[in-house]
Amino acid sequence: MKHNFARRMAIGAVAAWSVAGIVAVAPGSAVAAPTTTAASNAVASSTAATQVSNPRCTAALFAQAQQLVEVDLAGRVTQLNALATAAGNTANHLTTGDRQTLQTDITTVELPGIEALQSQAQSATTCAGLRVVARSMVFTYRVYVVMTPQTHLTIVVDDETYIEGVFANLEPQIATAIQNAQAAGKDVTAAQAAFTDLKSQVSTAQGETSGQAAQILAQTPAGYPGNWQVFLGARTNASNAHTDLAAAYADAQRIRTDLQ
Amino acid sequence: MKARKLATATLCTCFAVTLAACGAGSSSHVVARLTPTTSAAATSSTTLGPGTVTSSIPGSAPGTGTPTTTPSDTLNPQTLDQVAADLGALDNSLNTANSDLSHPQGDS
Repeated sequence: MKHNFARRMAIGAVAAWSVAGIVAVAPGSAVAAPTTTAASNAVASSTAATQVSNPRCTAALFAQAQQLVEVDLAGRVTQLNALATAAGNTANHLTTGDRQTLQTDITTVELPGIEALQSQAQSATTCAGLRVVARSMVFTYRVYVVMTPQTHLTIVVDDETYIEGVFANLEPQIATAIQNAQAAGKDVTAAQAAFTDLKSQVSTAQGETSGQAAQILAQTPAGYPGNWQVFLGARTNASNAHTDLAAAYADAQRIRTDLQ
Repeated sequence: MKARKLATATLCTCFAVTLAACGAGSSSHVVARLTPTTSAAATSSTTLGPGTVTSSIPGSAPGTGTPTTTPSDTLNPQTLDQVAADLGALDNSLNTANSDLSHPQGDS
């Protein structure tokens, strides 16, 4: 995992600089491959043997560099619109506050910012001007490595918190059901064991998700790459909570079957 | 002649009365056999809503027993179904988040 993280940091740094570098480097200096967006790849593959694989912004290559930046900006607009849709989807269980936070970040900060850069890229006439746009696109907004995991992980954690609440509300009902069955002469040993496990699983899941949404939402584009570890940690906790909640559901099913 | 007719009529009457008696017995038997079925149907129709099915205490006369809640009925199946659906949606969300972190688009 540490290796992956280090590798990711290196790739991120190279990729970020590649976009800026396409319009920024001094004559003669080479720049790594452009970003890995589909649009950029299409451009790269179509001209792999020429400038894009080793891009430089010169007067002769300015149009290609400008096109590449515009494609990358368009990809980010598409991604941000998808994130806004996910944040606004009432089928998930985002809390009202978290939904509002995400929607505000996406639709009033990120999206207008990237769209403004689209206009700047279109009107840029020099490599220096294009460089400013490319750098801001990557470093100011961090659409793929901050906004995207932030949105999706917050949805996951809030969904899990909601399910934990459902189980917590069920617990008194299950306790009553077991008591009634026992009073009616039924052997409730297995049901009671399943109930004990259910409570333990839900409690563990609650511990894993508690405070996670706030921590995820506190991350900003400026905090990258340091906050990548925050996202990885949140994913681990969310995965564990998911496993626990699935086990709690299996317990509930077992209890219901046993008491029938 | 008259006496023979009278005897025949008497025999027929007795036979008819016997048949009627048998019929009455059969009818009462059928009613008695159907009663529990009817009672069971009535009991099963007392569902008040999901998870709130009431049933009579075994052995009590239909309609006279004190309704009680079956223990398992307090675990609402619709609630569990909804939890299953939520867990399914959670699977998808978690997969998406995993994909973001494992294969981010753009690295930027």
